[in-house]
Amino acid sequence: MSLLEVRDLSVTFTRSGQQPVRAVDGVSFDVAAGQSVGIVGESGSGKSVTSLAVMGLLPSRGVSVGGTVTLDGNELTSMDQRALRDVRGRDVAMIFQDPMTSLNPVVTIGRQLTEVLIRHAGLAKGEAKAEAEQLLRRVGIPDPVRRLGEYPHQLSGGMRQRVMIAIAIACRPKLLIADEPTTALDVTIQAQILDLLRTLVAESGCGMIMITHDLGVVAGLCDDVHVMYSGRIVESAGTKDLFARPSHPYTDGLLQSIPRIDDDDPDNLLHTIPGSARDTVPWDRGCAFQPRCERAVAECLSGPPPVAELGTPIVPHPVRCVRPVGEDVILHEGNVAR
Amino acid sequence: MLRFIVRRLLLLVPILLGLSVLLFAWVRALPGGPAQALLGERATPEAVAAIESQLGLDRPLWEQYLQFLGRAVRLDFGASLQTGQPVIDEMLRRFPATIELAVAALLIAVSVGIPLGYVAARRYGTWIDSVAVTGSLLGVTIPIFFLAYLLKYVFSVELGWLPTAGRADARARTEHPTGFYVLDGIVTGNLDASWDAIQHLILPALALSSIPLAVIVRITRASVLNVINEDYVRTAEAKGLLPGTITRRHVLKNAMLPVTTVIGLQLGVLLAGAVLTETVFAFAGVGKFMADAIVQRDFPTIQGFILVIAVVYVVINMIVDLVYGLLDPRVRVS
Repeated sequence: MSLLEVRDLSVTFTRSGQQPVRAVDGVSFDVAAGQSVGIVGESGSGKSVTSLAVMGLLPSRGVSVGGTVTLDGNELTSMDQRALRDVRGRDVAMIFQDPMTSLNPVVTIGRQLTEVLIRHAGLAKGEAKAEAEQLLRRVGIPDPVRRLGEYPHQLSGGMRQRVMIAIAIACRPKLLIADEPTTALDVTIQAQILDLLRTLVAESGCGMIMITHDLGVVAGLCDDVHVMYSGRIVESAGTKDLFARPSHPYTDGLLQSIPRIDDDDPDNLLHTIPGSARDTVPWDRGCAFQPRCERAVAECLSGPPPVAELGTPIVPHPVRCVRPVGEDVILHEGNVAR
Repeated sequence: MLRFIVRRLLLLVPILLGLSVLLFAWVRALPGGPAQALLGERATPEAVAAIESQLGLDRPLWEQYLQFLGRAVRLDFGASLQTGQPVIDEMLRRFPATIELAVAALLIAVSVGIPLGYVAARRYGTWIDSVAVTGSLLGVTIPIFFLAYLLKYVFSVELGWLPTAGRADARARTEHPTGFYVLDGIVTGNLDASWDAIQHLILPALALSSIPLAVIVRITRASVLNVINEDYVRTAEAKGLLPGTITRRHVLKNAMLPVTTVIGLQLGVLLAGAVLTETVFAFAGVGKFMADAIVQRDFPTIQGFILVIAVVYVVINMIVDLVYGLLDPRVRVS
């Protein structure tokens, strides 16, 4: 059994007087202990909502969550808030995108770090402070004793993200969710933060979900990747497999959109995916990516696209597409399971 | 810190200079001049001339201004035309009453306004929220003197729960070492006198608190609504902290920053509102004295009052800025 099992997770936002929006639609994936799983997609693909649903952090009003999220045998979506609060911060912790806004500006670093230790690890104030000092040292913050008494605005962005990471790993969680942890940082700092995360996961043996729109982050960090588009996972594979054989036209488009440093021909323009994520088709009518897809055929709009298994039972590589890249036949319900 | 205070106090100089010019010009701009204003429309020219030479109004304007300024610096605003006593003595004698009233009103506004604003934000869009928003709109728009009479009518005249006017029961023989009647009762061990003073305070304080209360509800509500959508509150939720901790440490601590500023500004509103409230409740503070001064054309008192209020206002704002620095490390003065 995996550490985290997400089964058929769906999140629908409802607002009175408006059409309900299904932000996450039947998403399933696993994370094993010590494993890093990437969830890739552009803005609005549902990747962040997925992570918030796993944390139980979605607002209760106007949101309905379906499916199950099982962490270490405990089902989270049916848990009440009181029980969830015991799980959050202790068993599953989260690192957010923007360290500039994710730390409380009027509370010291020390307090923001020790409060989680006092809450979950039952430490006394003095013990928590000593532990906090160790944690800051562990995430590579020099002069931790002084930093504990400082406020977030006195630290650089990279330092603040290190503090966020220290807070997240404080109670040795089983699962770490990193939601675009490097997006708001300078490129040089990005690499340092990713290195730190990689080391921490390797040392602690916790599972990690890396939410990102950056395939470069995935390549360097993740074991498995799930590509999301318009609320659904459209392709899942091992990282190497995905980069070697991108099969969904969307994944293929994303990979081609990465500028290549060894491309010397000035006439080669950077590849782009036409249209925007708003040009979409409801999944029950056809493939949501169809309006932007270069490989689109008539069959793309004949009902929800089937999931084709292009891998093996041991190394699966499912793709939600009727005409995956590299396949010449049109796949349909009858011939997808080969 | 000290440099900050000194700098703020130095800022008082240009403010007060400007204000003194305005006040001086205003009195001279009264129809027929101050002497005429003082004596009324049917005054004889001889009487006007006599008053003018008595008050030095026949000398050149610049000389009059310098004299006015020189005295004002020594807190000498002249003698009240109502009582013949120095204006500053009259004001000092009445200030405790007004401070007591303003503090009571502010206490009501803060202790009711902040929780109400917080609950309205947390129950955003529900009937509680609607009641708070509508009520605060009513609180801002209802004239203080109207509300004062309404409260007086309902609670004093009809229900007879509370006294109609004054600061204390006229039959009570109590000592007033500090001038703050509630405090006096405690100091002299006469708790009945304190209770009596509190009863006299309730209605005027309620009337006076209406505007600050309404403003504090609105600002608290807006500020809390802002803060609960901040990323750091989500971080606090993600840490699994208890709701009480999140509210106190992460929501309120941030949401109170704009509220602090507004509370300071409302103190000015309280001083202005005291003029009306004290008049309705015959509450013997500077506000009532000021209202009487306006009716009696007692312009030395009016000038003195306005200058003193300006100083109080600037000092209050300075204190608010200092408190702000304590609450928000980002603006802390090094």
